Amino acid sequence: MSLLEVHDVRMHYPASPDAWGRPRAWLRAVDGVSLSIAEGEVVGLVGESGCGKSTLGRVITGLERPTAGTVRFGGRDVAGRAGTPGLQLVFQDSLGSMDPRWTAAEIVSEPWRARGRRMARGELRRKVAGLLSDVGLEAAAMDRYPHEFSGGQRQRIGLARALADEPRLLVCDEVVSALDVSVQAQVVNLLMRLRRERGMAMLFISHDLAVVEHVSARMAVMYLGRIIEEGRAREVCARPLHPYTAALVSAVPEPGRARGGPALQGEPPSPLSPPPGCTFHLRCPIATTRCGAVSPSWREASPGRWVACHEAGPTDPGVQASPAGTR
Amino acid sequence: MSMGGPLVEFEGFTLELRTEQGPLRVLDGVDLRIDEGEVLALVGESGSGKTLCAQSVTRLLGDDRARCTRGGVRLAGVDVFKADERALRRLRGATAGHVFQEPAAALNPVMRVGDQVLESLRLHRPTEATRAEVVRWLARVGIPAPEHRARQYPHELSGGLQQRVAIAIALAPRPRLLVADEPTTALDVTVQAQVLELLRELRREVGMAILLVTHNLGVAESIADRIAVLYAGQVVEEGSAASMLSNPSHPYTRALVAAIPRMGHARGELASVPGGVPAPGSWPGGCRFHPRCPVARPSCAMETPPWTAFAAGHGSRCPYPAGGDRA
Repeated sequence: MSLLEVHDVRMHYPASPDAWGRPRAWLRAVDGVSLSIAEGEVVGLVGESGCGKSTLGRVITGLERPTAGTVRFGGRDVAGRAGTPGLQLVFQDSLGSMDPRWTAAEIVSEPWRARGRRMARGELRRKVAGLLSDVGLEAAAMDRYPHEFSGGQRQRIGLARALADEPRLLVCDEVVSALDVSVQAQVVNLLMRLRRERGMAMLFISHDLAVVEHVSARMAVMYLGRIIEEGRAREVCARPLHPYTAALVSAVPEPGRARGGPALQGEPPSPLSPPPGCTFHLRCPIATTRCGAVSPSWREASPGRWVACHEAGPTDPGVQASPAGTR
Repeated sequence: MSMGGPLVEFEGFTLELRTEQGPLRVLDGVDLRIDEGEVLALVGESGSGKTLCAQSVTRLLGDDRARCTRGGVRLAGVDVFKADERALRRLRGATAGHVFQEPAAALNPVMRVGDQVLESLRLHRPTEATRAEVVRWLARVGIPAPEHRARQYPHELSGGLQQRVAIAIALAPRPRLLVADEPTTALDVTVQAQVLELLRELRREVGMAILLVTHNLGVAESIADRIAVLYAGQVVEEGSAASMLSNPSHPYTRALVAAIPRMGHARGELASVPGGVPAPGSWPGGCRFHPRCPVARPSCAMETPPWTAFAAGHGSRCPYPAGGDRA
């Protein structure tokens, strides 16, 4: 029994309404995703913009009620229930959503107020100071306002606020993407230390493959609303099975690493009208006619390595037209 | 090319912005040169002044906003901070084209993209520009179905296609220099790889020089001949792209290189630099990196380190380069 169990989740939004306001199409932001995270485990979720990774983070933390599928946290159904104790989301500019007139202390202690926990002012300030020190800020920071902090410091306050809830699962959505590289390293190290000390599980969502590989034990790659590959982070990056993962890996510009093969052609298709068969086949360098017709099944290519591709790695024995991303 | 000298030359260039609090020094004694056909990458974190350098090449900041207080910038032999508006207009577009991070901001939202390319062609060659030439340019930058796309408006194009249009507009007048400020930062990694490939191709074909501004060392290394690292308004290291990042000398460059998570490398702590990049106006005395520097000596807080050249085309603003500990 995992801490988090996401089963066949779909999140479809109505789009392009007709004259009567009825949707003529559905935007399939998340289209059949299953994912589990064990207690204390760090799972990375990587993909490009529009692949549905942030939507999945919002569904998991209850900010969006999925169109279909289940989300269970600690055995309880939490689909569509924001504010589940122990389940916290931190995103790119978490403080951007906070009242700019709140002090850091008010921001950090917000989860306690939301849960109706009352405490004496002295105790509250002592606890806030403890959390700020956990994220590497001085206690003096608690009386300052968001605009007085740098980007890296704001991200630390966002983290301290999430930690106030003592999360068992922290969903981090692009938490270091807006930071300069020297500051990014500080925040990544901080996250890793907090995870070790508190034993919390993390879902680390990012477009940055190298950062995801660095922080995660296991990772999942998303494309157009579906998970197309999953496995140990190290292995997925070193020996990608899915041609899309391979393209992602070779496209990452990294100093000291020779450029990979030719750049992937084209751009992801619209989630309003995903192509039939494998949603990647139009850009895929190894696609066959089958790929345009039959959706590849989600299969275990080797122990712990899952992929949704007809052609990748060991061949797929029994081909069924089952949707990718489901198990 | 007739001038003989470099295409772009910054010499002791010092720039101040006018602010409500008075003049604010943002660049301090910048020396840079770009030869015809050469690609220079200017890397740095936010607030380092890299974008201001790019904007100064054609003096995009008006007199009401910025003032050169020492040194200067020459573009194709013209001293741009002494040139009049007419001379500057001749330089902008015809001699140096600009591409920015947000392509949407550079495009006119109510004008068909083909007309914008045509306008750019006509700006510098009033008579002979034709629709056929526009379509050729759109095809040249890798836009599929260019006849169709030429009739579309910017909002109908994806970010990657918008950036290609912006590149076509910048290159249509056949400038000798392309100033590209974070041209791939807003793009997904697979699309970024496409645009970098395009820039490499165009450079080979057209033989233009490129000033590339980026925060991404991997991007810089993948396209540039030389790399200059900017910190707190000063160039702190410059060298060949092929060797500098594998053998960085300045402690700041070494820290930047070490802070990048890389695929396939050991997990564990990322090397991080304490603190953040100091903002203009709060630059420390002596070496500007000394408060964050792991190898700083007492003298670093007092003396401004001179530029030290220690190999052909490789130099740094640190008197204690790399030492025995070559990263």
